[in-house]
Amino acid sequence: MIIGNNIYKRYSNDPVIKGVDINLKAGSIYGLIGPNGAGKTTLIKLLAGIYMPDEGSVTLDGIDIAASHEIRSCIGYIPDNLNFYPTFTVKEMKEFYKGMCKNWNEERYQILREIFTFSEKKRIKHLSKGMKTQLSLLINLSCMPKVILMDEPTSGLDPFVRREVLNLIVQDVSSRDTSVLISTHNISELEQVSDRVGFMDKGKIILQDDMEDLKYKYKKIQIAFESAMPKTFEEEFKLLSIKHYGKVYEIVIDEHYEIFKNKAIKYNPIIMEKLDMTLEEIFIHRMGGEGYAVKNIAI
Amino acid sequence: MLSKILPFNKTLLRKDWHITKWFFYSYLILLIMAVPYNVARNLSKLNSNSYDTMNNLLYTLRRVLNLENELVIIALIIIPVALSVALIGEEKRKKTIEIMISGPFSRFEIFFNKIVLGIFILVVPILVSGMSLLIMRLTSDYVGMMFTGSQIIIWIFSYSAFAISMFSFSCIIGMLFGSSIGQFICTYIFGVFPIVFYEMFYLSYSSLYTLISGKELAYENAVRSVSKYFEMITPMQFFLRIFDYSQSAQIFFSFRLLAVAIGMLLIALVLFDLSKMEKNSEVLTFESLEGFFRLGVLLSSILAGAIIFSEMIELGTPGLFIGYVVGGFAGYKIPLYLIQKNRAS
Repeated sequence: MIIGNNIYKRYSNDPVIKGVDINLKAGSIYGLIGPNGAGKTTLIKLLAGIYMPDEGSVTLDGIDIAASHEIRSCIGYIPDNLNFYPTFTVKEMKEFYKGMCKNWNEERYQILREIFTFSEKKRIKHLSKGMKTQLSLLINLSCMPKVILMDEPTSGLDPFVRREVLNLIVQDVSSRDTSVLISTHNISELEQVSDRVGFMDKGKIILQDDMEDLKYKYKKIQIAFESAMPKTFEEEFKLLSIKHYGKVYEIVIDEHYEIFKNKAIKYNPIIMEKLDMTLEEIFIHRMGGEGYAVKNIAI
Repeated sequence: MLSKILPFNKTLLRKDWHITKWFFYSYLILLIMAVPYNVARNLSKLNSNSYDTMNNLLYTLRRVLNLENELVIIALIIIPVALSVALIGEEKRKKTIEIMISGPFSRFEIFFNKIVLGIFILVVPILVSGMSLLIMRLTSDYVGMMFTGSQIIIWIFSYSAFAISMFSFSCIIGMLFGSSIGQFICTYIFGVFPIVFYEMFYLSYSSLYTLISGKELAYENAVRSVSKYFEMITPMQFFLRIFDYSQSAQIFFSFRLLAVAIGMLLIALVLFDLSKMEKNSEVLTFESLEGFFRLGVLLSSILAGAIIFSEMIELGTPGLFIGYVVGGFAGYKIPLYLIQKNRAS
């Protein structure tokens, strides 16, 4: 569907996006995670055709979005800072988008309208951030785009509306085969809905995988030995992280558990237990290696 | 037919109209008050007054269609710039322009519809005021005596040309600067820049000449003789020059001004096409202009500092040098701070 190929972007002389390859498939939700300043918003704006890449290309169904403004109408974009016209009423804003989107679905708009609580007569400047996000989602879903790019869509929303928003996105993906990219700091939320994840740091996607593969790949194991962990054990396995509490070690590996278990048995562990890692743990673990380790500062 | 060739877009026009309609209404009311209503009000006083008062009223009436009608001139200098700021600068500052860029519109379409609406808003109130005056000519002999039909038509034409050229000039500035306040202030600064820069330079030059040679600078001198060239390249002076000519010549100069305005709009379109969206809300849209901008501000600030300290605070010759230092410091630091503070990261 939408493919970003070796994208580079610089602000002044500072590279912000460095050779990113990304592929958003139809009928899937891609979760983009990264620390602040990683380049997520810039990447989303590049995919939306707002920014032009300095190198590389962004194509939708094989058409370069920089070259064709028509194709951009197939992309819905929900920005972080919602840039609506503040003096417009909700109805006027809807009419503007209705004129802009050739696939506008009025029936869908009216159905979705029921879910959200704000009045159509209300001016945009009088809406809260959460309401603006809801309006943006409402409009974008009614535009029936092929791709929806969402930059922090659930920040500032209460838990009920957040769930509603995610539910609507999932429904849209399953019913219309929409391709969705969600960038968020709320990783647990992403874990529930996305089927592919990309970790972004310093302008690069450092890890990109299907959610299932990622969870299968990264495992946390609690292991204990009669005495300290043998040196040969440490050397034999590629341990991504080691923590120990008394005799119990908590290690992270990136290989199949059964294979690991068969090889580890010769070290006579007294306990060996597999624990599934949450996406957040994988993220923190992965970013720890990139210099973002959580600092346990006591105050 | 024309609507099929040109990229008129109802959605864009409606959206821009929503943002700028209050300019249209206030400008229309202001012009009607300052022109046809002003004439009608003075005419109603005409019959019942003494000879002297009548002369005053006739004098007042005669001023309605010329530069002495200050309200109209002030409106013509402020409204086109404010309108251009609302259509361009504000959209860049609030980044609402990104909605359109991410939509199914080409940059030409976005620009074209803004310009069409801007010209409509600027010309229609002038047209309505002028037409009202033409109708009043038919109903009142006094109006017929005071204003000829061609005089009113030339007024419509020349004032429209002036408003459009101010608007076009501000559009260029809007494309160079990333914020609305920057566009508004810089339109006026660059509108008078060459001649004001020259005058500031001349003041410093004459003070330094006196300091070094010990005598006053002669009125006629080589530096003074080039002032007319600076006047010629000062945009605001060029636009206002249209009113210096006789009525018959004004038609020709209006056409010339309109041709210049079209040229300026084409430059603005090229700049819009070249601009990067990530530069919106930064001080400068084009990084390549940074050196030129900073040097310009530095030099202007040095010269302005010298005038403030030597002439306005009246510190004399020491003030001149204090002004150079203070102005130079401010002229170096302020643009640097503004550029760095607003730079995208």
